[in-house]
Amino acid sequence: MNKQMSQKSTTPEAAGRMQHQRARALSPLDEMDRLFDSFFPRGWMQPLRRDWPEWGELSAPFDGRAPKVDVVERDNSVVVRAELPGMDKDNLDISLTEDSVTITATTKQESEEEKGDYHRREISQGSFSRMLALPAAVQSDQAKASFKNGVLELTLPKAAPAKRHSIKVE
Amino acid sequence: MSTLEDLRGGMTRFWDSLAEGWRHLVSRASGALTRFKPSKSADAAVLPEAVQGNQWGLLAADLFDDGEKIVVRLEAPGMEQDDFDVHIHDDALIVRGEKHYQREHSEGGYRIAECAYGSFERAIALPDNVDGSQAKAKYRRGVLRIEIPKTSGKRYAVKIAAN
Repeated sequence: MNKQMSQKSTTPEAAGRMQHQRARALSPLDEMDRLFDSFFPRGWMQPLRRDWPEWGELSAPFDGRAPKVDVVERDNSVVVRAELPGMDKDNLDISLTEDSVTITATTKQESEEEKGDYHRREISQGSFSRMLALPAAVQSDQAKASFKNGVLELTLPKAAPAKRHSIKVE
Repeated sequence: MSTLEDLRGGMTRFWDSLAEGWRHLVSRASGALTRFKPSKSADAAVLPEAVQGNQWGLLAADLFDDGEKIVVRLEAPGMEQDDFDVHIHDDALIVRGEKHYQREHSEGGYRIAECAYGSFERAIALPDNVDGSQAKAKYRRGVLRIEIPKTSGKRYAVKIAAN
């Protein structure tokens, strides 16, 4: 096997997936979208929902808040970083399959005991869940997780790369 | 009633609802949208293209008054305590910071890049006269919490005497 071949570690399916979830930058508009999602979890489009019940189904995936993530593919692993400020690690639930990860958080403990007159309230509370498709198959039982300064970092070793053979045309 | 009129009514309500939502959003959250500028330090040069594009981040803040002090909580994950620079200037709290990008050592390819890195600044108006010299700040689990004692505007309960 030559060197070039051994470096190709992704399966053809994984390569296909990568194509349509290439890293993209967020514009301020995306940011506003995200704000919308986080500030109007349920109910604000209620009139619409009453008239067109299908709307509920259509907008269901956008309910709740979604944490921001970075997903980096390294040679032998996939690293997922999620920003979860104010979250306690005991309230986080991470479930993995071979090609996806779901991060679920129940409640924020941080502000429970805070009492006073609020002049400004931008921090959203409550639970959320986010599922991410991974760019390569991983060994879910070998995953490592750390949580520091509000950032969850998952290191997921890639599954043994599918062997590639090149066939010479004679 | 015709389907068309139904649809028109629905659209009107849709726009009303949307406009209402937008006003609510702007009044409540526009301050949280913060620009992240590429920092001048060495790590700026190695920012991958995917991350460079993320110049907008959310720094959501809560501000409340518990009678004795003003408490500000600011969500800023992925920082270290020393990355913050907090000032109180008259009636504004100014939080500057720099969020460092963790350099990828191997040929790391970004598949999703949503987090913003770099330096940022957010100013938050303070509602009452505060004693900035007595302010305390603490950074824990990605949330910066600043407590500033009030010098005036403290709350006292007033009893109403019976006739």
